[in-house]
Amino acid sequence: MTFTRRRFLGLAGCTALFPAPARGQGAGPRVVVVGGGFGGASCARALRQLDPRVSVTLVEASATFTACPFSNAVIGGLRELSAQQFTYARVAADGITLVPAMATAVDPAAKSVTLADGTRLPYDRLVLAPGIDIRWGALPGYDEAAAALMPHAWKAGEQTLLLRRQLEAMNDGGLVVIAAPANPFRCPPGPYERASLIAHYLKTKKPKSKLIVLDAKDAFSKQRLFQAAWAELYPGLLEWVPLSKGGAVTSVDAATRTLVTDFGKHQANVASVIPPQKAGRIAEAAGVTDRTGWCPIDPVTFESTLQRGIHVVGDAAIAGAMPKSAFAANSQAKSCAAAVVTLLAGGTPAAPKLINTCYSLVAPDYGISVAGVYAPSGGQLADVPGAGGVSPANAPRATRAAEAVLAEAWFHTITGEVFG
Amino acid sequence: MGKALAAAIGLASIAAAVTAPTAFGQPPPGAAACSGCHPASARVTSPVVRLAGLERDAIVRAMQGFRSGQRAGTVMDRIAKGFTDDEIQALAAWFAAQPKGGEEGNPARVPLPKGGEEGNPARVPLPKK
Repeated sequence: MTFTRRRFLGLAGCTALFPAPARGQGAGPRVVVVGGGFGGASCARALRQLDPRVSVTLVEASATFTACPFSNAVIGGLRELSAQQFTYARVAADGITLVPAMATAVDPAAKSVTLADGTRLPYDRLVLAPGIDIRWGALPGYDEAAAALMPHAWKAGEQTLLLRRQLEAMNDGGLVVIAAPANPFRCPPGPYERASLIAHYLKTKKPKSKLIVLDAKDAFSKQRLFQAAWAELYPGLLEWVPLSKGGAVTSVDAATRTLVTDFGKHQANVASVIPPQKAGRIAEAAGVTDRTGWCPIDPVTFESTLQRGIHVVGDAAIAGAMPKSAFAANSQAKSCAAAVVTLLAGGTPAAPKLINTCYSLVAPDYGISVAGVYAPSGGQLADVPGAGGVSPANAPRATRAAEAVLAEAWFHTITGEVFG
Repeated sequence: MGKALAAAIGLASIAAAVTAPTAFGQPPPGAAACSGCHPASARVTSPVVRLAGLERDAIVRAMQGFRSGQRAGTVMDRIAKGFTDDEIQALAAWFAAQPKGGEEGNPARVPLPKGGEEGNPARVPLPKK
């Protein structure tokens, strides 16, 4: 880009001040949002709420959103997938133009998004919230065909149901293996919640079975809380193998459900392989990914540091200390919307303050959480010192039960805020 | 965290407090994140308290109590520690000025299907063990 930032902001300001009729249909500045998840749908709605003059288009190929948080409960037989699914009717009712199509390309110079059918959507600012894509082939043997046998279930939907059906079809006494990836990846506590709720299913339905978690890491989110709960609830049933003890899976053979590590082979009856990930593919097409496959951003505006005029929120973004979670995506999306509206009006966005809260279920009545507060510092979104942390280590079961209830309340609230 | 970084965060906090409530009628820093748990939409029901329209002093007292540990919390004790006095004042003033909302169910929720999951074409047959 040859624009200087100052010149760019100046132009954006002029655009916003331009009389509305000149743009046709009374439209103000145009913001296109790609991706209708917790980040994108939140951002689209927040943009309309903050400045109704802004014309907002949400590009999302799926007519129904299937939420990942609580999808481990679907796998564990505690919840139906339909409880995870939401429509965009209320989003559209906010005056947001819904485009049910796949965005395939972005031209940052011409400021347009290209859809699968070749249609071009012009924008003044673009927000990408594409979530994740699987890095097929990064784990040898794990391709799309392998995922049909060893489900990742890391995008909720058919994969979630597939894993659940495999567990239901498994004989008592079977071996379930979960492969957890190295950082960074979507939902850091997710593999361990999955292990917990599968262990709960096995304990109650197939108690002679065993579950092994093969981990490419030596440490993980809420680790002490998970491990204390596992020792209490699932002794002898759930085994976690860290990197240093040969946990890293180096290849898989889907046909035989075999997971290979440097230390040996595990032949599973059911295997869930959570593979390495990257930003959703439109991010790469837009030129906003770096060599890590994720998207570096300005921590105040969420604008890409690689392409002016394109903002990235949610799992796809490199958001410093913030985890790739639904809460974080929602929190980022609202701050990004505020920054976009301010930039379109020629102003200077204020430094945001962001929050994350993630609940995990270890059992239906046993919840734990991690929380954090974040602010821009040194070009990153950094933890605000002294804030955040996990649930207390030695809390009574009543506290765990209360957190399980709060987890459900959180899901109900955030999905209501984003889609309701 | 280094002293310089901590100082930088301190400065950022002061800057945020000075500019809050922000230009363009936007909520002060941090306010937007609260609706991750505290419902803002009038259509959302939740056991978690709605912040819009609460007394300013009540919000300030609650946040200060969570922050100091005087008031028990599940996650708010951990979150309140990330906010300065000035930020809490700005948040409290902003939420107190918001109109109270009503409550109804989430109409976006996809209705539960009547039948089971039989006949799903995505189903992959499992090999016999």
